[in-house]
Amino acid sequence: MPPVRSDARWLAEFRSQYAAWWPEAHPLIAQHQYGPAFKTYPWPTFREAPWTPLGKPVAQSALAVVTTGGLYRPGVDLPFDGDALEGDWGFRALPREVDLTGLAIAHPHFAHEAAEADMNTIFPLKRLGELEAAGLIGRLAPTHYSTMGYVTRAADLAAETAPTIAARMKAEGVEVALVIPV
Amino acid sequence: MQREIEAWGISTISLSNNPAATERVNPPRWARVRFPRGSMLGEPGNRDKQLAVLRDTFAALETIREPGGHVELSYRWEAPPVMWRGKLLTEGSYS
Repeated sequence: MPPVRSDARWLAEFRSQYAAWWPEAHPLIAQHQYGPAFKTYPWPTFREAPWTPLGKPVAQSALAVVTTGGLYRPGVDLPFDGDALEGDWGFRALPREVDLTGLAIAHPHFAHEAAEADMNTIFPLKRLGELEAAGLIGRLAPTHYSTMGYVTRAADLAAETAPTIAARMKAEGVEVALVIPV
Repeated sequence: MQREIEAWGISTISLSNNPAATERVNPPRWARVRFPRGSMLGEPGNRDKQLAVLRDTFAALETIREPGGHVELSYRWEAPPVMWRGKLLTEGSYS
């Protein structure tokens, strides 16, 4: 089945506006002056939303979760490049059996205390497993995902990372996805 | 991210503590939470609240019928504010 692709018409205009924004934003971001830098950022804005009707109740559906918390498995995955001024638009695939207490955070743009105390606050895999056991979720997919939420290059995230994750979900029979921007 | 996954034929919902940013992106479905940035499901260790947020979010996934629709979850942040870049993030604050 060919995938349904979302509206890509915005990408070219965004990239053009981004190229104009970056030379002025770059020195501000290098000095961590995010407020002034992002005042002129060409935020992608959409009037319409894509739509896939829910085919069956969540209690009968296969579910995957995506967090933008910058999570990775030390010693297995490379950390995200948290210092990159334009962010890191890659992703890490995390198996459902992953030990949440063994995950690390490579995302310097939010306070880590809550997540370090309990990773379920940004990646609730343990809680989702409990809901699966209780019959409230059909099944958890074998693979879940983390990105690193600080990415200025929105077009690359949308055109490269998101379709790669979506295709992997489809290959695992995922029917519903929970997205947790951190 | 969410828009692209939905476009591939997967029904999606997200959590948001930053409604202005979320409305700009216009994802298919979202649930607003009033927790400070960095803790999208409430206080660490609060298993009951985390489960309640997830249950309500999945209920919204089943009940939202219009693209871009959202629900407001009423759970509050019941812990001290979070310090971030010299500011205190209280419930519902993003930056």
